[in-house]
Amino acid sequence: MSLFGRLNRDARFVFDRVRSNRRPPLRLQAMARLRALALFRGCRSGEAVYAYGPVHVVAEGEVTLGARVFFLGGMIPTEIKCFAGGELSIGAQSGFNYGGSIEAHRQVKIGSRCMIGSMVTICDHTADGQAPIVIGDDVWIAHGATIQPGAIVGNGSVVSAGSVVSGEVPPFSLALGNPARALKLDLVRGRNSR
Amino acid sequence: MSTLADVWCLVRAYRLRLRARVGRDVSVRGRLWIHGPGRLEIGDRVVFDAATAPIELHVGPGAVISIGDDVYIGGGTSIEAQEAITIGVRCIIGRFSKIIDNHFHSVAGNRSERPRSVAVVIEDDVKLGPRSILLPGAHVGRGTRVVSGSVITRRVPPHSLASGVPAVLRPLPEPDSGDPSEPLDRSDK
Repeated sequence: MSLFGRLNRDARFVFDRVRSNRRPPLRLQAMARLRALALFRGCRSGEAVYAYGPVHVVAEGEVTLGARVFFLGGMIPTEIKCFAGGELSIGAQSGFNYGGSIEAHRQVKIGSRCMIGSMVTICDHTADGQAPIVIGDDVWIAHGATIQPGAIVGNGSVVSAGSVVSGEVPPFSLALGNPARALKLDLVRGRNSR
Repeated sequence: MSTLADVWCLVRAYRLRLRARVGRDVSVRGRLWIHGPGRLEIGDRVVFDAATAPIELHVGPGAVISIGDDVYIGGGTSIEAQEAITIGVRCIIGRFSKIIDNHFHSVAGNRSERPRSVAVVIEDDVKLGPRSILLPGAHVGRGTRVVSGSVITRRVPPHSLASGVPAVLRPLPEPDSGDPSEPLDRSDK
């Protein structure tokens, strides 16, 4: 098997393992640990940050990573950008899937144990100006969602796939649509939580 | 066979044959990632255009992905099956689309628990725009056009126009009355 084929296989292996809540093999964990150390040098990062796949890091501002934050690999690299004067903080045990883009020009705060899906865009800057973004603990942001400047996502909320969030999402709710509306999570428990 | 890219295209199509049941004249441009132990069936003259970004096909244990004849799949598309995903003939799947039949995490309760899968079906002559998302339970009817960036979670009747998040359904302005065997115009992908 070619080197690329082997790397691909490894990347997807990790993906399946982490999704089904099992630990990847030690060899891949060690590689991910080393990659994270190299990528996030100069950042304030907690213990045991893992980068299982390629991550583009721009750390001109202040980047703070919590303990056991992990970045999964995939088809498209993840981008973590914090520009000069910006502040980006990611809480402990948060996980990022492939292809996401997080840009902090002023302030982006992501809580602990968040699950950020693939191709998610979080950017606190538009042509109209900048506003801080705050994402609480235990938030799940699904594939392809866009978090716009000024968005506040409460603890335990879910942002559904493809949604565009620009305002406030109360805690324990499901944000859905473009522009996103919030529903109480208790009300949607029936359909897809089996 | 003139350029190196064409040679690579042949090599990749050959490597695909090692893994899946593949029809005739299938072409692969760029990288195609296939993982998972499930079954993969690919029809005749399917084009995987992964020149811009790799295409991912993930077939979980016991799952089936079946792709019909004359299907075009754009770069960056990710198709993940835990049960079954069926794509009909002459479909066009735009770039960076996502098709999944399982949410992988529960919305409420224990997030690491995997919910039940619901099969996804795309019938014949469907056009999915770029960045469209098909979630578990999506069943896109024949000849439907899905506008780019739309999210579909349920049944879409044949010959409709689906747009928005979540998708709003309308009948197509002009129902596709042409000969269905005629190849679709692929100039606006």
